[in-house]
Amino acid sequence: MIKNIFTQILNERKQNVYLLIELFIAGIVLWFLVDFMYIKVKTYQLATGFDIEDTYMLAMNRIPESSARFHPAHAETQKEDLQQMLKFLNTLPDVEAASISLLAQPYSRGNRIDRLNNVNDTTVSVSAQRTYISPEYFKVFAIKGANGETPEEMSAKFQLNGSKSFFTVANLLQRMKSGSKDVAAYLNTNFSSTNLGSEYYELTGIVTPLKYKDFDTHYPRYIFLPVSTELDNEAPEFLEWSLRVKSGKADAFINYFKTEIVGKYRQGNFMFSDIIPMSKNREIMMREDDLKFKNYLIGIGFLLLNIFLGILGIFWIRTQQRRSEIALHKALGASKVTVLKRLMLEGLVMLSIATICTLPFIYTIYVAEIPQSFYGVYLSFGRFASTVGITYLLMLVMIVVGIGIPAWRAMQIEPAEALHEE
Amino acid sequence: MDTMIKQYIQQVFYSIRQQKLLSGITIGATALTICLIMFIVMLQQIRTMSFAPESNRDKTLYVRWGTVSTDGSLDNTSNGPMGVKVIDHLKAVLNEPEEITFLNYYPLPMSVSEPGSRKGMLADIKYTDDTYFRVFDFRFLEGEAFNKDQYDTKAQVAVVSKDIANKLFESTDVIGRTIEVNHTPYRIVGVVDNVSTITPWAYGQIWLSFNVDNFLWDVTSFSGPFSLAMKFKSSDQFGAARQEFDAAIAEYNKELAPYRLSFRNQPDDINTANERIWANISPDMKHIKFERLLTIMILLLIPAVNLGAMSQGLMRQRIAEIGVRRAFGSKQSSIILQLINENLILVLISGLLGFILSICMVLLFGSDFFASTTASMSTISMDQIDLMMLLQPQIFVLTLLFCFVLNLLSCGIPAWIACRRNIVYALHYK
Repeated sequence: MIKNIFTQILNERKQNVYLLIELFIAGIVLWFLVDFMYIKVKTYQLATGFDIEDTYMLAMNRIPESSARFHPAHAETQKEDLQQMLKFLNTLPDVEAASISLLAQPYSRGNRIDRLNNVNDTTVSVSAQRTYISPEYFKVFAIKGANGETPEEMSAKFQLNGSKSFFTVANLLQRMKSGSKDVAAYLNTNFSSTNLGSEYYELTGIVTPLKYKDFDTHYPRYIFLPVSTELDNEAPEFLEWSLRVKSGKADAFINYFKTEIVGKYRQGNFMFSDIIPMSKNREIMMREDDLKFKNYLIGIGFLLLNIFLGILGIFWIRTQQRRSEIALHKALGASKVTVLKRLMLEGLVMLSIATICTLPFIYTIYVAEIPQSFYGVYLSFGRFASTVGITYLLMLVMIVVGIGIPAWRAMQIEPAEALHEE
Repeated sequence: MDTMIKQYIQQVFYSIRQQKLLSGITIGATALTICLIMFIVMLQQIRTMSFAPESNRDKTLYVRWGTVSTDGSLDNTSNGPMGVKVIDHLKAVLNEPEEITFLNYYPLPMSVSEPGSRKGMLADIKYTDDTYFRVFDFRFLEGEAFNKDQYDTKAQVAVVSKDIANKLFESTDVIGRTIEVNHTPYRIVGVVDNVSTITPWAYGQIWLSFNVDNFLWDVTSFSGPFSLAMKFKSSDQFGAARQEFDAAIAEYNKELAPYRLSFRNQPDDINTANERIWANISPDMKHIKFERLLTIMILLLIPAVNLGAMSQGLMRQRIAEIGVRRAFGSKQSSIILQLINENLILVLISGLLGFILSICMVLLFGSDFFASTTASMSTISMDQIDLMMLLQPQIFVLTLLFCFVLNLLSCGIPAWIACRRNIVYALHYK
C-alpha cells in the first residue's frame, strides 16, 4: 500500500509540491519555536539552589540627622546597632533564621564583578560576583553544601570564617577562558583580587550551584564574604535583610511584625518599615523573562493555529477535488476505514518527506549556533531528536485533524452520486 | 468603473457563500496574522511614543548609566548610575539642551507616614530637581511643582500622587499638609495624577527635592543613583547635542585624570534608551532591529505560504473560467488584476477583523503585556493607562500595508501561474 501511495504522490507531484513547501516551511518555523521552548523549559527545571518559600525581606530606614527623632549618641554606632538588630530578629520565636547581606538576596538586581585569581595556579582566573553575607544566610535560603551538607552545617562552617575567607559555588570555574575546572580542587587555597587589595583570601567552603534568574542556567560567579567587615562602610540603605519564618507561622508572624515591630522597634537610628515576601523580588526580576516566555507562547499558539488552518484548508480543497476518486474506491469495495486509512497514510508520507527535507537545514542552523545554547552546547543528539520529534508530532496532530474532517465528510456521500457528478 | 467594483464585490460574496469553510479559513488566518503583527507593533509603540507624563520622548535624550575607570582603561571600570557631582558638572557646561534634569531611574522604596502616626507604608520615591517638571508633563490636580527657589533654598517640599494623597489623607485637597518620608517632614506643594510604570522615567509616587535629602549619597562620588534626561526644542538638535556632550566629557576628563568618565555611546534617544538594560554593555541596535524585522517576516511568511497554497487549490477550480475569458479576448493582466482585486476585498475584510481583534486583545491582555519591567516595590496598585491611545491612524495605515503585502504574496503568484496555462487545456480542465 505504501509503495502504491508513493506512486500516487509522485503522479500528482505538481499539486503536491505546494503542500510539501507548506509543510517544509511550517516545519522549520515551528521547530525553531519548539527548540526555544525546549531549552527554556529544560533550564527552568534546573534547581535554583535556594528556596524562597516562607522567606521575607525587611525594609529598613535610617532616621536622618535632619529629623527631630535623630539620636546623636548613636551617630557612630552603626555596626553595633545593625548587629544588635540581627540578633533581635534571630531571637523572635517564629523566625527560623534571619540574615543581613549585600547583593546576595535571590533575584536581587545589583552586581559587583571582580576578577579573582588563584595564588598558586595562575591558570585559574575568573570573574566573580562579590557578595557579603552573615552566617545565617544559608539557613534563611536553605542553600546546601556541594557535598550535601545541610544549610545548618554550612551556616555553622561560615560562622568560623575569619574576615579573610570566603565561600563560593560549585560551578565557579566552569566558564573560564582557559577551560572548565573543578573548584573543589582549590579548597583551602588562597585567592587574590585587585579590587580587594593586596591581601589573600582563603576559599573555605563550596555550596551547590545557584541561579541568578529562573530561565537562566546556574550563575557561575557567586563568592560569599563575611558581611561583618562591611557594616561600618556601607550605606545601610543598601543592606538586605532577609528572614525565614517557621513553616505554617507566616500569616501570624507578618501580622505581628507589622503591628508590633514596624514603627515601634528601634535600635539607634534604625527602624524596620515593612516586611515583603521574597517572591515579590522574584516577580520583579522575572517580569521581563516571564513576559518574553508568554510572548513566545502566544507566538507558538498563533503559528500552530495558522498552520492548522492552512493544512485544513489545503486538505479540504484536495478532498473536495478527489470526491470522485474516493467514490471510486468505495464503489470498488473499500470500506470507509480503508479509504480514511489511505488518505491518512498519504498525509503521513508527505509529512515525513517534508520533515526529512528539514533535517539538513535544522542541522545547519544548530552548527551555525543560531539558537540558544545550553551550557555552551548547541547541538546534542538528545536535543536534536527531541525537538524534531516534538515538531513532527505537533504537525502530525494537525494533519490528522486536517485530513480527518474533510475526508469523513466526503465519505458520507453515496458512491453512485459522486460518480454521477462526473 | 463603479459597475466593475460592484461586480467584483458581488463575485466575492458569491464565492464566499460557495466556499464557506475555505473563505472562513482565509479570513480567519489573515485576521490572526494582522492582529498579531499589530499587537507586536503596539507593544513596541507604547515604549517609544510620546504621551503624558513622558510627552517629550521624541525630543529627549537620555543618559542612563555612566562608566568610571580608575586607570583610564576600560578593564577596571565601575558602571552604574551617576553621582550628583557628575550631574552638576554636566548641567553647568551643556548649552544645547533646553532643559536638563536628573532622577533616580529605579524609584527608591521608603516609608511614608502622616506626621505623628506610627503606621507607615512604603512608597516609591523619585529624587530630582525643579527642572524635572518641565522635562516631563505631569497633570497637576492640586497645587504645582516645587520651583527653583525652593530647590535652591533646600525647602522640604514634596509632590505626591493622587494614590498617596488618598491613602494618607483620604482626599486630594492636601496642599500645605505635611507628610513624613523616612522620618523627615515634607510639605506637600502639588498633587499629580497617578503615573504608570510604563513611563519609567516619570514613574514615582512621591517626588522630593534632592537638595534636602542628599545625606543618602556621597556627593563627592562619581557614582550615585542618578540618570540624566535632556529635553530639546526639537530632535534636529540631537546631532549637535551629542557632539557637545562628547566634547564636554573629553574636557572634563582632563580635569579628572587618572580617573576617566565614559558613557558607551550615550546620550540615547528613547528607542536606544529602552534597550539599554545593562550598565556595562551598549545595546546592539542593528541586531535588535534585524531581530524585529525577522520576527515580522516569519509571522508573515507562514500565512502567506498557507494562503498561497490554498488559493492555488482554489484557482484550479477557476481555471476553466479563466480559459473562457481568455478565449473571448481578455488580457492576462486584466484577469490577474481581477483575481488580485477579488482577493484584496477578502483581505480587507480580514484586515478589519484583525484590527478589531487586536483592539480586543489590547483591552483584555493589555495590562499584562504592556506592564513595564521597571518594578515598583510599593504595595499600592498601579493605575491603568488609557490603552486606547495606541489606536492611531498610522497603525491602521500599517495594517493596510500588511494586507497588501499578504494579498500580493498569497494571490498574485497563483493567479499568474493559472493564467499562463494553455487556453485549450484550461477550457478542458476539470
